[in-house]
Amino acid sequence: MRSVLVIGYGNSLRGDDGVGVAAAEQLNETLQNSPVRVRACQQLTPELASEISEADRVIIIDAAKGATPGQIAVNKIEPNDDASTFTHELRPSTLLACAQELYGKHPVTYLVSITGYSFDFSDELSPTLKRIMPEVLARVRELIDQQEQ
Amino acid sequence: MRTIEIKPVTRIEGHAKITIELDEEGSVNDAHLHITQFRGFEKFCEGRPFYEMPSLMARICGICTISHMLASAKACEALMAVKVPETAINLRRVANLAQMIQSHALSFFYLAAPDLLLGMDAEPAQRNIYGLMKTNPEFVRDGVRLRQFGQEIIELIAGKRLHPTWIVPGGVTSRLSPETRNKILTSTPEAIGIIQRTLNWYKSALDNYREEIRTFATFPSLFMGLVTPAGELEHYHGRLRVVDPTGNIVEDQIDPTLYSNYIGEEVLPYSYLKAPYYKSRGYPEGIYRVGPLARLNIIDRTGTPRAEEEWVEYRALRRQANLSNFHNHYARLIEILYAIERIEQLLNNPEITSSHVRAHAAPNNNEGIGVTEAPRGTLIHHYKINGDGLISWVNLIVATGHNNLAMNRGVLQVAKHFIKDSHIQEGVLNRVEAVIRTFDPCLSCSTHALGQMPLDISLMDSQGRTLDRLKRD
Repeated sequence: MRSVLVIGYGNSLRGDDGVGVAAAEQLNETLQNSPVRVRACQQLTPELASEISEADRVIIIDAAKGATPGQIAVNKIEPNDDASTFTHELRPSTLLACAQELYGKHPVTYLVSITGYSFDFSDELSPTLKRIMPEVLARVRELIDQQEQ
Repeated sequence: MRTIEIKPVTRIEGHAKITIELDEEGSVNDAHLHITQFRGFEKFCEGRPFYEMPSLMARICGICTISHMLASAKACEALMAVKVPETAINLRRVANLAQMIQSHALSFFYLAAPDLLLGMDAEPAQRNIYGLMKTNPEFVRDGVRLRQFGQEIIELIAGKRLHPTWIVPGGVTSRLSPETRNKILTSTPEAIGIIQRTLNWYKSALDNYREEIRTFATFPSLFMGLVTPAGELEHYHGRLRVVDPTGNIVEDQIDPTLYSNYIGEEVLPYSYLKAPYYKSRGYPEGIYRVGPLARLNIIDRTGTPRAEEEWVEYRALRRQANLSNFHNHYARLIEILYAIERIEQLLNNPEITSSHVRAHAAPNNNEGIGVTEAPRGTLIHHYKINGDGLISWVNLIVATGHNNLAMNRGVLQVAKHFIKDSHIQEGVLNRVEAVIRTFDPCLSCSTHALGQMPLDISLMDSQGRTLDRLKRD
């Protein structure tokens, strides 16, 4: 069976920025005893390149800023080695490039971006994002199930 | 008077800027490290129930979470006058050492190695860990694996890699299963292999850094840290020892709860970071350093066999205390080796899987102090509570604070050596930053601006007119 890695990331103390983490944590509860690995983290770091290189498919969930809060966008991403602002925090495409550089491979990767409403100090998602969370999880499961077909 | 400003300092934890003042001839007159972020943990914790402190303090830092939780829990346990079960103490030790491994690996492989392997004068756009992946992928894979090793241990025993809630006043919330213990032990040989390989490379490359060793914060100072009663490395309990530049012990086996008898704190007008000093010698002569370099300078032996061999070789570099802050890199590698060996020792104790891991008590004292060694040095948490168990006063002295005076002295030294006229060049800039990086300062701890400032260095005359400017977007 091919392996799937789901990474939800963001700052759960900055309101909707934590939507990736919240989605990953909810998925983790429903995917117990599943070959799907779920990781919730505050930011993307080079260590994740190792785990990514071992997966056949990766789904990254992150918050986005934009004019339409609650909008869910799913995009396939490719490695991008533009590391001009590289410190110890990475963009998803740079992380894929790290996997390619270090381990010689990168899996098919989708970025699920959810446009947030509020990024103020709060450990809760906005009502808008709470309302669309079932749809976020459904979209991620679709991407997982595509892999299992 | 002319002033060069460097902001922000990159590849450190937090935000800072450096100003270098030039005299009329263009020679360096003075230098200051400005910590420009303010966080205020000491104030906003007031009024909170004391038992919340470990979880609140964990949020000071995303790197040294465990150390802050431990110092905080120990301060709370002093308030409770509770005896923490031995197994809980040993599990906490394992977590603290695992954190040191991942923190030192971050500092060495991700933050410092680009300078060491790609050269101080390499293009800034390439001189980062991504640039290193292209030139030295095996080296970076080793760094990644060591970071994972430390992070996985924390996740396995504490439940989460970042900000776990496992450490609580009185002990820890869950025992270690034999299966988890065995899983960790199966990964230690690989980690030891990586760090020995890295140490061998580093030792073979030391000659390449002779100039940096000579000029990167290389000056006489005191050194302070915790040691065991036998003078070995100690990162959890222990007593404070202070040695002078010749390696002589100035103070030994000080009860760390008496820190205020020995350490004064000066407020600097240009920084949010206070400047602690050794009281007996006054301010600023009482300048001292903490962290890996200091810890390896104050001990009589390490306490584990492989690290001991490396330490003996390291100490042979200088018969007295090693004074160059550049050797912090070397010291971190030896401490990583020590930490892996010590984790093995602790996990091979059959009692480590005991279920007795927590004691309970109400507050019995109104003041409590907790001290540990964090990756960057000695960490002190000091709390007072009122009759309802609510925090009324907090004092934190973090590792980067202890090193404040030494960081300023180090910047001045390197600026004097490398800046011969008022023209700013990238290589000079990075060397000034790199000396700060040897301290691996964690500025988030010590005082947070949101967002990333561009690098902007201005050279100004005494009238505030800009004479020269270098900008890195």
